[in-house]
Amino acid sequence: MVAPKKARQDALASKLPIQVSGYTVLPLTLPPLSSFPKKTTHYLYLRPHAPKVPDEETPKSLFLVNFPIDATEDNLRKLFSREVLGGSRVKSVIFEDLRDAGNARKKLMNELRELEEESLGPKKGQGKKRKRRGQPEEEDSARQQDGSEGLNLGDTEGELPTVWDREILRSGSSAVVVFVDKISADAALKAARRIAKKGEEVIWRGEGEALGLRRYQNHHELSHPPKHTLQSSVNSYLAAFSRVESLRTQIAKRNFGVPDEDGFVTVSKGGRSGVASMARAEKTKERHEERTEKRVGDGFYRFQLREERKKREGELVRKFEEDRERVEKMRKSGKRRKVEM
Amino acid sequence: MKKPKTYGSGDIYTGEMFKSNVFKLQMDELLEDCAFKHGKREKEAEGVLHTLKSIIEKIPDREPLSIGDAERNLAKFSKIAVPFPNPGPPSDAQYKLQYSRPSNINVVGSYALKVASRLGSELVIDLVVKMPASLFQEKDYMNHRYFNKRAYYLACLAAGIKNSSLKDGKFILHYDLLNGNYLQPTVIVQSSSESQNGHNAKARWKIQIIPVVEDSVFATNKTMPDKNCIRPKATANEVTSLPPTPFYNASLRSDSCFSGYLRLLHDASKSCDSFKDACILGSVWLRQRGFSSEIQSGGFGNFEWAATMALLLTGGGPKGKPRLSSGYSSYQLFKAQLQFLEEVTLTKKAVNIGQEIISAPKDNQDPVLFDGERMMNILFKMSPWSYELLKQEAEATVASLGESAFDQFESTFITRADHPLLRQDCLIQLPVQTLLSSSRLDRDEESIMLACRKLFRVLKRGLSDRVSCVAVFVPQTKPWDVKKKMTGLDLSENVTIGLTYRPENSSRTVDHGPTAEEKKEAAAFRQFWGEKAELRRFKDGSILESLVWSTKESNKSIVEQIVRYVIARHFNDDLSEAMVVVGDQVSSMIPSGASTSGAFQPMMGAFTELEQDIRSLEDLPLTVRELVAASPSLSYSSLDIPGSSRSGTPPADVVLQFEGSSRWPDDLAAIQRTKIAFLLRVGDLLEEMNASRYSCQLGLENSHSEILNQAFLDIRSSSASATFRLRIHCDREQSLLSSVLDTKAAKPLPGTGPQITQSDRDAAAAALRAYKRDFLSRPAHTAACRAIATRFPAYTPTVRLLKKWFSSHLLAPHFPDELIELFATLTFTRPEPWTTPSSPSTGFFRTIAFLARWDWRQEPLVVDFAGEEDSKMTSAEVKETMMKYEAWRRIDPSMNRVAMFAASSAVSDGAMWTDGRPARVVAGRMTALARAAAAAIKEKGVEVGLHPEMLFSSALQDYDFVLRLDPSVTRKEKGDKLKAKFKNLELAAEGAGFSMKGSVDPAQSFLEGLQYTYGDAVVLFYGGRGSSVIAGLWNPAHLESRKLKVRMGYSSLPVAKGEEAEVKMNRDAILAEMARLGGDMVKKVELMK
Repeated sequence: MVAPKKARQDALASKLPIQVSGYTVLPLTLPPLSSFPKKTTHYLYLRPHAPKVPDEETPKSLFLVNFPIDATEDNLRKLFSREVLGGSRVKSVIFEDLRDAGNARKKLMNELRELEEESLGPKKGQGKKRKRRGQPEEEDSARQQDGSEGLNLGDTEGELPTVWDREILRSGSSAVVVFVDKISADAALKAARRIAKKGEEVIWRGEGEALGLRRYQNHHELSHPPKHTLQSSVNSYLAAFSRVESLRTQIAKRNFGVPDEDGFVTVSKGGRSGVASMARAEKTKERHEERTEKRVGDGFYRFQLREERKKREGELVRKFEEDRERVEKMRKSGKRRKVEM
Repeated sequence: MKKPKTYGSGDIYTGEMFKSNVFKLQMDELLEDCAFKHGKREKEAEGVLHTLKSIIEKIPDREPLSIGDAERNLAKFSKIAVPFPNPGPPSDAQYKLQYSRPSNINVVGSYALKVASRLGSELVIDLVVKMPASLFQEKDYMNHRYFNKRAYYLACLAAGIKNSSLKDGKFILHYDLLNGNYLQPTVIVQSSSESQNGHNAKARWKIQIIPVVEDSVFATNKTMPDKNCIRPKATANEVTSLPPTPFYNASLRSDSCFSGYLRLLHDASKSCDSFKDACILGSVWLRQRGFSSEIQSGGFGNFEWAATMALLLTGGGPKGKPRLSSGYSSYQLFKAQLQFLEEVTLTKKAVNIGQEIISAPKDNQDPVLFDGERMMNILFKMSPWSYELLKQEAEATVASLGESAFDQFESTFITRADHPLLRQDCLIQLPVQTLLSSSRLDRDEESIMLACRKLFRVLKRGLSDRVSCVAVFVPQTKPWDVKKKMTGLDLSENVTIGLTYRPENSSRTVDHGPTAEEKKEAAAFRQFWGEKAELRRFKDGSILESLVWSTKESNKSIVEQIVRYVIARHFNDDLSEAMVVVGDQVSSMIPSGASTSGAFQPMMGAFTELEQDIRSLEDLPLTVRELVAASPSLSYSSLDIPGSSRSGTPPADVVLQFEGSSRWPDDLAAIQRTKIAFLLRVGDLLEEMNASRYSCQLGLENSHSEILNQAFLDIRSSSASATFRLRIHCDREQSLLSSVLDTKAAKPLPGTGPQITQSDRDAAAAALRAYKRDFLSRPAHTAACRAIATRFPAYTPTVRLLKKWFSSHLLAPHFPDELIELFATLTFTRPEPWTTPSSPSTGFFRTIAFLARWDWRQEPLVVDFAGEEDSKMTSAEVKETMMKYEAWRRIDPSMNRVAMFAASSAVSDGAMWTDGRPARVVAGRMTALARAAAAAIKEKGVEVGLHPEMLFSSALQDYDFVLRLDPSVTRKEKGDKLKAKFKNLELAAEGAGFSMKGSVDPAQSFLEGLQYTYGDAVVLFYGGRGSSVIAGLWNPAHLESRKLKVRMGYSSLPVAKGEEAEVKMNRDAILAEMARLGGDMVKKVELMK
């Protein structure tokens, strides 16, 4: 798909840079539409992926910025498989602004697994994996995806139904594209450099599920799922949730008064009756505060009265000063309301 | 008052003397602005005064001449006409006209006393020229003889000035009327046009030359208000039966009192320190309300204000004691004077100050405040209607000054309150010509006042307690060339009548008259109402004369029908037909026309029914605490009438709360899942209970965050063919979200799961805001609006008009319903400087005027919904909102998150509705649009007649680009269209017992998608449901090229910039993307710039 001469000349004539801040610029031609009959060019920026903490996938990955909003894993796969882009094969695409749908379920499943392990064996000194700070987001989401394997609920069971058949990206978003091997990744980058240099034309095809009115109609349909689907999803989620709760109580009961590895005993309330619910804890706190308030109320001591009076006087002076300042400020800002003419 | 040195006296300072610190400080500034200053134009004018004085002193005397000769002489040699007042001297007049050197020339009025407020563009100096007593005879007070001589004297002065300035042509001369009184012409001297329009146009001044007479020339007992001084020829000697001529008498008397009043005011300002300041306050107050000494502007101006106050400092109180004390502060004087105007009805009982006691003439309704010292009614220029209006204004201001929570300085002095479309509920215009011919009167100045008096009487009687005030505005007089005689009336002008409604009575359909037994009253009733009066027997057995009105046959309001009827009966049909009602055409812009809240009744009924049905469900695991409304369609405030046939109105949000239970899980996501389970159960139970009434379907929302509300239940009720959208309120959410936010400080409570990251905390903060908005604030706000709508019948049409205005200007996505409702409510609960509006047009115009005036950058909006005095917001509460406002401005000084701050008594968080939208630039656009609309209302409103469409359309040229949507998608009645186009959808919808109609708006979803995708890179404008245009602006902050970043938030293209390549917004590609996203919904993308 080599571009006609004219397009190449255009690109040369406008002298577009082929590199921006270390990224290779890959121009994508957007075909004209009946509602917008103008041929436009979109620019995708590529560079090798270089996270702070590389892993085995890193050499095979490219980091891409500024996707068309209708990019999907599928149509990116198709894009890179084209000959003009080196015919590379994409393994996966990890989008930056992946919405956190299904996250709660994943967390719940993780917890369930951990608790189940814990309830079997004694508590290991280590807490749950801590999230590393300052790490690029794409890394996190990649890890999360890995972690979601091997649970005792089905892959999507307990998850709420998706409401869009096709997600749309935010404008200017980025993603890590993981190729099948390093050679493919390199080939894609090289091809992009060549295209940018020579001003060849690559047409962007935002294929996938329908856009336009159809997408919104599908959305309407999807966001009103049938009752039984919802019911079973909610049921399995809540079942898992109550399992977690009961495991937690069990473990807490077992650990009550038992010293840990260092010989410390964790002090916790409600050893016999189970872990106190948040609601109850709050109520107790409120009651406690109320009691303190009642014991030493206003005007109980003479000094309280004195201080109260002093405070009131100070308040008056402060108020006046405040008011004067406010009017002064109005005057100074020159935006004082003049009498309307 | 000087600023106190010690703060110990702070409480005295803020007390009665000056209302509050801020009020006092603002007042000081106002007085400084308005106080007399000796500037350039004053110097120039004073120079001219000296010149004029010496010119006048040198004018040669003229021998006595007969009237004809005198007139001819002046016309021939000086080209000056004599401005004889109507009816002019009779041809056979015996007296001669003569000029001789004035006995005294003096500057009087506000300029001499230095109490003139500098406001207004022109400086007017009154120069009185005292005519020597030798020119007059004892009987000259009769039959206009004095006024004719005076007119000749004035013409001689004009001739003299004209002759002496012929060489240099320095002055321009005009005739004018003193205070619009046709008996008292004056000469206006201005500097010639070159300097007038030239470089020092700012230094504008004019000098008014007023001929007056020595106090002792005419006996004061002849000009008392109850005497007659105009005798018809035939009955020249029968004094007894003639009606009094108070206006003529007082005009004559006022010419003798100039120096007397100068002395009075001077003495008052000497004996009372705050007198001058109080005069300036009064003059500003009067000016903002359109009052002046001109008869046509009420006849109560600076002079009357000052003179009344001076008189009240000497008397007018109980037992002749002074009503005001000279120890008052300027604010106290001002307020006490307003209280006097408000409390004392001078039309019923004349107030006398000094020894002379007179009683007000019985049959006419003129106010009398008689100055016994100078033997004059100082309110002689006022008419019954202007007095009524003044009283109403005084009442409104006194009431507002009594309020403590809000500083009423602005409404008292700053806001211009005289625009009739804003001040009155209904404006009616009558052509002067038709009015005069229909009352068979001459076409002179006196007859127009006579006609207006009759009009006033008839309307007052006809409208009775439907209106609180009938104001009549007669056309202003204009200065005219000294070559011409008095021009008289401009017959092409209109007389304007302004009505202020009493909302509780204005649309009553039946009027009860006297009983049939009361013969005399019944006859009078029949006499007044003619064939409209009918004798009816009422339910309680009484037989009464009565009137029955109806809005069924005509689309005119009842008030308009009455006005037309009584005008036709007491004037004639021509006048009734020539009558035009101004301004209320704007009500025609309300969609589906219905301007009453009755159209909302089916919806309200269906809601009550739903509440009862839900309460009666037995198989719910928890008991229902309450079901509350959280939608404008359940508070009489939505743009579209809910459930109105075929128009796809959005579902009405309702919130269900169960009694507290500890069984809710301690986990946000689990709560959401539990809520879904509850919703499914409620839906099943409702359908089970009454399948023919309810059909329910569960919907999902907020798929991007699982701690937000995840689901709602759409309940379609056949009772109102409307849909309710039910969500469950669980108060555990609030404490769980707060605990997420608090965990930074405290260790997480056991069992709250893994560590909390910053993004978790942000999400929790957003969720908490959403929780408070949807489950706490919206229900509270909805309830408050519903109360407002019941209290003020005009609220509903006003808020609907306003919403229409916002959506017509494509501002709908930026201004939440609640914010617009607050704007409208403000007009009703804080109507100052006016009283509460009672018509949709007035409510709308005032709200627009407020939006044009509101400086949201500098001041918060605080709306008090409360009606009862004891439930009103306290000043402490207002202060607290002010502090919240200031805190917001401190953390967000560039107003990126909160531009407008709008708190209310129902929702004290002022950022609740405005966090994130409208953005500063959009808020600025609203102000610009409101200013344009307010200017159009002001300029074209009364004279040309306002085309309502004009206010509701804005050009698309202002935008950068426009997306034109397929109208078949956006049309409100789209149910059928869609079905025809997508057969499978239709089937799916039918299967679910649901149609897409009403519950979804693809254009709205498209817009939301665009907003999500492009964030703040573009600002999008859309007119809401049914609009087929989305317009957009590029955010100018993002148009510059910059270094490539990972999260730019917009599509970019590389540009060469020096050595380094940068990127900038790729606008074409973005538009192409929008077109792709919209697909078949977007017909055309237009670039405007």
